[in-house]
This record gives sequence, C-alpha cells and structure tokens, in this order.
Amino acid sequence: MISFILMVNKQGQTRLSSYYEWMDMQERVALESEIIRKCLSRSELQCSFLEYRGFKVIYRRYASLFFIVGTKADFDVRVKGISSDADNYENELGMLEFIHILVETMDRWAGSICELDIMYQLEQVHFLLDEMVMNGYVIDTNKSNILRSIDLIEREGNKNEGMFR
Amino acid sequence: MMGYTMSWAAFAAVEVMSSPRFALKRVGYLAACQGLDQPENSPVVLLTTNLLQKELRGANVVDTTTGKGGENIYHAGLAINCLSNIATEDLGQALLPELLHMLNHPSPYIRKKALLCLYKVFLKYPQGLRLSYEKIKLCLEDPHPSVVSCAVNVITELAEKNPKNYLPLAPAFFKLLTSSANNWMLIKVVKLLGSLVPEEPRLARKLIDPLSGMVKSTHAKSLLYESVHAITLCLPYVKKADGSQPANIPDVVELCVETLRSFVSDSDQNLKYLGLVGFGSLLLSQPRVLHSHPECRGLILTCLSDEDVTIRTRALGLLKFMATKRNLVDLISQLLSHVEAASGEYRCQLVEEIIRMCSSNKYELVMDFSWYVDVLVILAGVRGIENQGEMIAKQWMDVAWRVLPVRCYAVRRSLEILICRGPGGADEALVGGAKDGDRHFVPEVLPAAAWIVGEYSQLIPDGVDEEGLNTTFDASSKGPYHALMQALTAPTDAAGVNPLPCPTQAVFVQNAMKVFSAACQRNVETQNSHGMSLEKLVCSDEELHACAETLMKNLVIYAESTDPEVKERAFTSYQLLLSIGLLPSSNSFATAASTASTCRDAAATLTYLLTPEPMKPISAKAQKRLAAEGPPSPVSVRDWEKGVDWDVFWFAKEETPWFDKDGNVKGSVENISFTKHLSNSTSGEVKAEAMGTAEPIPAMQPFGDVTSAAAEQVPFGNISNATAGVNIGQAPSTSHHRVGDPFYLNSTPSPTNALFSSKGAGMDGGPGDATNTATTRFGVLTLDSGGESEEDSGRKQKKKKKKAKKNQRMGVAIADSDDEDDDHVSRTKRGSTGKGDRAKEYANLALVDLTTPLGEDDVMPRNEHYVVPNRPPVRADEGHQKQKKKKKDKEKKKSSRKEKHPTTAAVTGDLLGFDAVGFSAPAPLPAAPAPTLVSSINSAFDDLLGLEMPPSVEAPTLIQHSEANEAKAGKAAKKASKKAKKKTKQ
Repeated sequence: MISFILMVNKQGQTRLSSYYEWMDMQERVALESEIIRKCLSRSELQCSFLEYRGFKVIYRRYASLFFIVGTKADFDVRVKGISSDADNYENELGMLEFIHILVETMDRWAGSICELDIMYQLEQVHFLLDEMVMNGYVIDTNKSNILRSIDLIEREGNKNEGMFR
Repeated sequence: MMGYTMSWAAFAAVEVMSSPRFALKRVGYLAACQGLDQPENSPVVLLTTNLLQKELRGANVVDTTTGKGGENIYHAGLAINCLSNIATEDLGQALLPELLHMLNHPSPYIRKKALLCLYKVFLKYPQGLRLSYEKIKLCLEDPHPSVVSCAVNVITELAEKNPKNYLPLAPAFFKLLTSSANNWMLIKVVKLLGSLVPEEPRLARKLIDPLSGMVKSTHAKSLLYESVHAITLCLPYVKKADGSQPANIPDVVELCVETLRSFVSDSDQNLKYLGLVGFGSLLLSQPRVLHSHPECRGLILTCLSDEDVTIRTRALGLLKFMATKRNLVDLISQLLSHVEAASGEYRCQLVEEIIRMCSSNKYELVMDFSWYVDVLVILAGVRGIENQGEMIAKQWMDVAWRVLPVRCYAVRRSLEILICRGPGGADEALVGGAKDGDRHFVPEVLPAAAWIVGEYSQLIPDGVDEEGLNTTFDASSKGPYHALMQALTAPTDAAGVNPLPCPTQAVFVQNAMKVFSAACQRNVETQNSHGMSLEKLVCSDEELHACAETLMKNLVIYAESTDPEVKERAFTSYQLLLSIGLLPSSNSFATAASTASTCRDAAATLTYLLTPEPMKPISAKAQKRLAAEGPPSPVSVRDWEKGVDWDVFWFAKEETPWFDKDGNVKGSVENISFTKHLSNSTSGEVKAEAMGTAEPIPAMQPFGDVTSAAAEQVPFGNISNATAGVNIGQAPSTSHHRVGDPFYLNSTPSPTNALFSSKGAGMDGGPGDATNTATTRFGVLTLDSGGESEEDSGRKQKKKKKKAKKNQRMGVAIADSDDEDDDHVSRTKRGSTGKGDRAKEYANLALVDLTTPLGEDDVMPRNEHYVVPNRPPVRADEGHQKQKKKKKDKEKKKSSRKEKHPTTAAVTGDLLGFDAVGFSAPAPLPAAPAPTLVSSINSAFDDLLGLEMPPSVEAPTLIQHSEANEAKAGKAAKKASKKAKKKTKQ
C-alpha cells in the first residue's frame, strides 16, 4: 500500500503531505526531512527508488517539485519461505506511472500546474488526491473521471455559497 | 499537517464536518482525515459515528425521477473517504451494514470507494469479513472496470494475509488474467496469483504459460517486471508430483534471465534497479542461473561501481550467488578495492558481505586461509566500520583455532597488529613504507589478536622468523618478546592518549602472562635441547629481564584499574610473579642473569598455570555422541584435583598453613578463601596460586575471575566464618554463588534494601529482567538464612514480586513518558509499536476463515432500535424463580462485559422487565419464548465477541434474526392475551 505521498520543493519545504498510515507528528517530520535530504542529494542519473527504513520510496521530479510516494510492504504473516524481501511492495514502475498521472491530472485541473497552485489551493489538491488514492490504494486513474467528480463537487460546494445563510 | 499536530482542533474538525454547507463540510472531513490523532486514542471518533451513518444512508436516497439527491453521493463519498482514514473497531462494526449496502449503489463512484473502505474496516474488525465476503466476490463481476479493479485490489491485499481463503477465486482471476487489458489491474492480478501459488502448487504450472506469454507480448515495463517476478515465485513449485520438471521450464528461465538482463543493461537506472531486484528473487529459486550466464555476471559487477547507492546495494546482494571456489579471490579483491572507495553505510555492508561470502557454509569457498587472514587484516584496518569489528574479530579467532596450518601465520599477523601500535612501530612503518600505511585497527580486533598471540604463544618464534616483521615496539625494545610485552602492557591506545576499553585490557593482562611464560619456556627449551636445529628464536637473558621488568612495572598500573576484572587479573598475575621470586621493578639489585634464571626456573609452573590445553576441533560424530549422552555431569573439584601436578609448586615446599612440607595440600584447594588479604607474603603466594589453579583456562573462562573479582569487593566481615581465611566444609559452588552475589549479606536481607534495589531496577528502564533477577537473588538469600524464617521470607518474596511488578509497570510508564523528550528513541519505539499493531491487525485478518459457510451465529450487527412488541406472557409462579436466577446471570454478564452493544443491552433490559409487571393469570403456553429469545440473541452476540456461550442457556433454539423472534414473541403475546381474556370471561 501507499504509506504517504509528499510534495516537496527543491528547498526542502513540504508543500503537501498525505499519510495513509498513522504516524505521530515527530515521526512524520523526521521521516520527511530525512527522505527529502536523500532525494535532494541524488542526481538525475540515479534511479528513482530509495529504500529507507522499510519503506520503498519512489520519487520523481517535476521542475522544482519532488513528488514522493512511500510504499510499504505489508507485514507478512505467512512464514517467509522462498519469497524474497522484495515482493509484496506496490509495483515500483506502477507508482512512477501513478505519479505521472497525478501530475497530468493536476496539470489539467489547474491549466498549468506550479508550486503556487499547490500552495494556495492546498485543500483542492487534497480533494483531487483523495479522488485518486484512498486509504493507500489507487482508486481511479482516469483523468476525466477524476476531474468530473472534482468539478461536480466543486459546483455543489459553490451552489449555496454566500455570506449569510 | 505541515509538521504541527492539530489534535487540539479535533473537536472543531468534527463540528465543521457536521456543518450543513457542503464547502465547509468538505474542509472538515479533510481536516479529520489528515489531522486526527491516532483513531484508537481519539475520543472524537466516537462522535462521528452517527454523522457518518447519516451521510452513508443519505446516498441511497436518490430520487431517480427528478435526479434530485444526486449530490448526496458526494457527501457519501466524503464520508467513506473519511471513514477509511479514521476507522476503528467500533466504527467498523456500526457502519459495516451501510457500507455493504453501498456496494449495490448505482453509482460506480460510490461502489469503488465503499469497496476500498471495506478493506480498512476488515483490518479493524476482522469478523466483518466473513459476513461480507459474498458481496465482495460479486463485485468482481461488476460492469464498471474501475470497481473490478478495486475489488481485485482489496482481494489481493486480503490474500496476502491468508491466501488459503481465496483459492476458490483462482479461476476467476485466471480469466481476468487472460482477458483483461487494464495494466493496473493486471499487475494486481499477477501479484495475487503469485501469492496464491505457495498454497496451491498445481497453480504454478498453469500460470507459467500465460505469464510467459504476457512477458513476450506486453509493452508495459511494469507489467513485464511483475510477470517475471511472479514467474520467479512460481518456479519453486513447478515440480510435478514425480519430481520431474515440466519440459518448458528451461525456456521460461531463459526468458526470465533474458528479460532481466535487458533490464539491467538498460540505460534507465530505474529498470536497472528492478532488474537487479528481479535477479535477486530469481536466484533464490534458481541459484545456479548466473553460472551459466557469464555475461550477466559481468553486468552485475559493473553495477557495483555504479554511482547510485541503491543499485550498488542491490548488486552487492547478488554477489553471494556468483561466488565460486575459483572466482572468490578475484571477487573479493574487487570488493576490497570498493571498500576503499565506499563510505558510510555502504562500506559496512560491503565488509559484512565480504565476510559472509567467505565464511558461508563453514568456509566452503575459501581455498587459501592465509589469504583469508590477510583479507581480515585489511578489513580490520578499514576505518568507519566499528559495528563490524566484532564480526571480524570473531572470524579471525575462528579461523585461528579451526585451521591448524594457518595458525602460525595468524600469530604473525596478530604480532604485527599489536606491535605496530607502539611509537617504534610507527617509525618503522613510516620509514620502511610498510603496507598498513595508516595503521588504524578496529578496536575489537585487538583482544582477538592478543588472544591468538597468547593462546598460541609457542608459535611466536615461527611467526617472527619470517622476513619483514617489525619487532620493535619502541626504542627500548630488546626483542620480539619484549616488544610484544610492551604492546600488551601499554594501557593506552596507539596515540597514547585514550585508555583501551577495560575488557581489552583484561585480555591483554592475561595474554601478557601467557606470552611471558612462553618466553621463559623458550629459554628452558634452549637449555634442554642444545644444538637442536628447530630452535628458531632464543630469548636472551637481557630480553627476559626486560620482559619481566616491563611486566612488573605495568601490572602495578593495571592493578589500580577501576575495572574489577582488570584489577583482579593484574593483581593475581603480579602476586604470581612475586611468588616465583621476581622482585618488584623498583629493585635495582636484580641483574639480568639472575632474573632470567629465576624465570627459567619458574617456567614449568607458569606454563602449567597459564597455558591451557589447546582447543581442538571435535568431529561431528563425537559431538553427536556427546549430545546423545546429555550434559556432562559436573566435575567436582576434588576429582579435578587428582590430576593436579603438585610438583610444579616447588616453591611452596616450606610449610604454610595450607601446604605441608612435601607440598601436599592440607585441606583442599576449595577451602582457601579468596577474600582475605593476608599481610604475610606466603599467604599472598598461596592465594595467588590458588587463584591461578582455579582458572585453568584464564582467557576463556571468565567465571573464576568474576567470582574472585567480586570477592575482592565484598567487605571482609560479610563472609561468614572466615576464620584465618579457611572455610572448612563449605561447598565451593555455594560459596561461589554467594561470593558472586553483590547483594549478599550474611543475615536476612533488610526489606528497605530489597525495596531499594528492586525499585532501582525498575526505574532503570530495563524492566523485566533486572527486577526478576533481583528478586530471585533475594530468594536465594532468604533460603540461605535458615529454616525458621522461611515462611516469612516467602511472604516477603511475594510482596517483593508484587512490588517488582508494580515497579516494572511504573518503569515502563516512566520510560514511555521519557520518550516524549527523546526524539530518536521514541521514534524507533513507536515505530515498532505501530508495526506491532499492524501486525496484530494482519494476524487477526489472517485468522478469518472464509472456507466454511456462514454459520447461524454469523449475523450482521444491527443497530435498529428495538421496538417492544405486545407484552409476551410470562407465567408468574413458574417462571419467576428461573427468571430471577437468569436475571442475576444476565446482570453479572452485563457488568462484566463492557456496554458494547447498547441496543442488545436495551433489549435484555426491556425483556427482563416484565416480571415486575407480574401476570396473575397463568398462561397455558410455556413461557419459554421470551427468555430463549434473549439468550439466543445474546449467544449470537457473544459469539461475535468471541465470548463463551452463556452456560445458562436452556434449549438453544437458534433463530437467525431477531425479527423472527419478535414475530414469534408477538404471536405468543396475542395468544396469551386471548387466553387471559377467556379466563376473565369465565
């Protein structure tokens, strides 16, 4: 399952974080800073997978923004026989692809997405993310499906918008 | 969010969640998902139950004609999303029916969300899985692909926990595998089938073909990788019943290797990484694959020099499959060159991997052990691998005592390591441009080297004899023995600043003595065997004198150590040297010749005392025989004594309190008390000597040392009956026990003392063991203290145990609260507890058995309000007593069980309320329905809760639904009322 999704800029500031597995705040902060440091220290030529404290971290850089997805092997209750430690993760390439779709969807949603869009419409991005991932599992990867419901929800939200109600 | 906790705003978030305005509500839900405290700990989660329920129900109210209420599905979507993030057991139980209902919702949007949410609910509330499995299965045939995909997702995850349950689904997935074109889903399906294979080996053969077909046909690299991975999972199981492999297996393996090779050789680093991971899992089932594909070996080796650490680590993991007897040397030398260049964590991994490769299967691959010793020495000189030091040291000792031919060489290398710590060694190394340029050694290696030199000190001449060995510790060194002595007795490290760790010092002292005895021996041998050509190294009088002097001088320093072990060993050794007639170093009268002769005279004694029988490998057969015989019976000291060669104690021939003139012991060795310092020198001698005999294998057997060390610290008065240092009639084992016990007092233990110590142990944060051992120790003491106080002590013990438990708990609590401050500790600790929780959840989920059909007691929890039907009749006179009894039982149960089911509790309360009303007219129908109804409902719930069946159930008429019961009860009530009317008419 996906344990967390982070969007971090090149200065190491977290722009968005979403956790699908409960961690306490100190842990989150420590994890973020360490993962980001690791991601930042890697060059373009290196592969986009990291193994860190039991997480398999998959990241991708778009312009100045890192999209980081942490997946975790579900604890295996079976006695480990022949299966290696590598199984049971989400498919790494699949996650890379997912990041790309996420970015494409956001791109279509905001016209041309940039860091500021995420900063100032944080909750919207969260909603969008919620449409794509729920509880650590990908629900939908169809751009128009996602955007349609986002759009509908948006309209629904604005319908009875008004100062006095 | 953004690194700040917002648990303080939890209530506000819930408030906003219930706002009528959608825009606000959304934000509220978002806040709840992101920022709530851990759901189990958060009290506000309870508050959300009703709200979520309302939202979920709202989604079903869609007016199809007007289309009104369509927006409700988004409300529900929000609610589901939120639920999946904050699910707890109670929430799951309460909302499961609603969620299941949503699976039939017309909108796929809701269906897929509800499906995924169910997984989370099952994690928290595993019993729910049994109840809803059928519906999940139906979702696999959903017309909407994204719903099917979600269903696959959920079942994949569930199957990871307990694959057995999902075997019946295999055909359905097989169909999906061959028919679907959705790569996202195919990946999951492949994963799922892979996890089913270990449960059903026949599946493996079936899968191989379509999977390899997929490998050939697909363009998506992710799917390609997943398929190859699944094939590697299948491979171990493809064997047919008769043990033969299907014919196509070699082709399939070839295909896998080819694909993975193309991955590894790809310029894309991601694929390279995945290729290496894939090889890793392939090699587990086909370890010989790389031997037949030399080109892959080359590829993997190039990955070792990749700039990416992740890739290097993965490649490193593959190396152990590539090593053979022939290429090991090459491989290791390559790795060693990498060690130089590597840094940090990776360097440690490299070192570990090198050692693991060489030592695998009892050094199966190592052909030349002197080469391996060289490798170890090089590794020992690497900086920054402190954690691996112990591993290296162990290996080194292991090799030295297992492999006889290499011992001499190991001794030589040990000498090198030890001697080059000195200032003279440094100069030499610099001038001569010696190979170990920076001469840094992992500290753990030093004791190992010292031990080897001491243990095999007879081999020193052979080692030194070879060319090129630097044998000067500093300018004053007289020869190799002296240099070694200087090295071993220098209490500081090479720089002369930091003291060595105490355990190392202790080993050094002991081995310095061994080397000294060897040096003496060497001289004796020279004398005895004149002109023998095998004599290689002679220890001259000057050298021996210098050795003795260095030893005497430095042992005094060691004897002042604060570490009891070092102190004791040094003190014993010093006394031993005094007793054989060596003079303290300050004494300038001793000449080289006289000292040397003294030493030579004592050589036999020293060797006897200090050099144990060499350890020998025992053949596997002999070991098995020993194991069959069981543990050896404890050898009593008296038996052992028979083997003692008393002649070596020649210097104790004068009569002493313990030896008569012939050197025979008056009492026995065990009677000598180690605890009293006697002022006259003879007793000192005897004491030292007794210590010597008490530890036949000094370096290897810490027991004797520890006890004597402890004895040193125990105040004199505390040892009972220590008259003149002789303790007649006390079994050595008990005295050892007592002496070894730091808490030992000769009277009954004072409770305050006990309290203090156990408390201390509890507070230390090492909760369990420390306290327990403390108590048991006191247990021993109280038993010793005599019969009359036994009961008393027993009670005390109990109390203490209780206290210890309490303290233990306190200790844990304290440790927890301390964690708040300590960032790192808390992180690791919490991480582990979190994992534990998860693991528990998974384990619970795995326990759910789906193969058996739903029993009658598997009923969906209902949350409907119970409407009391017409009063069922109860026969007052007959049923009264029974009911009272039952009522009592029920109440007991109610109080014991937490109010988990308010509705059921209400039901029982209501139903039991009738007897207060009281029916005067005896109803002709048996009054059974009401109580049985209650008990059947109860039993259903009890089972759900995993409780036992209530013992008081009479005639368990199992009725599935409470509605049926209600109907029955209603009927009965009607009949009863009719009869009552009749009676009144009459």
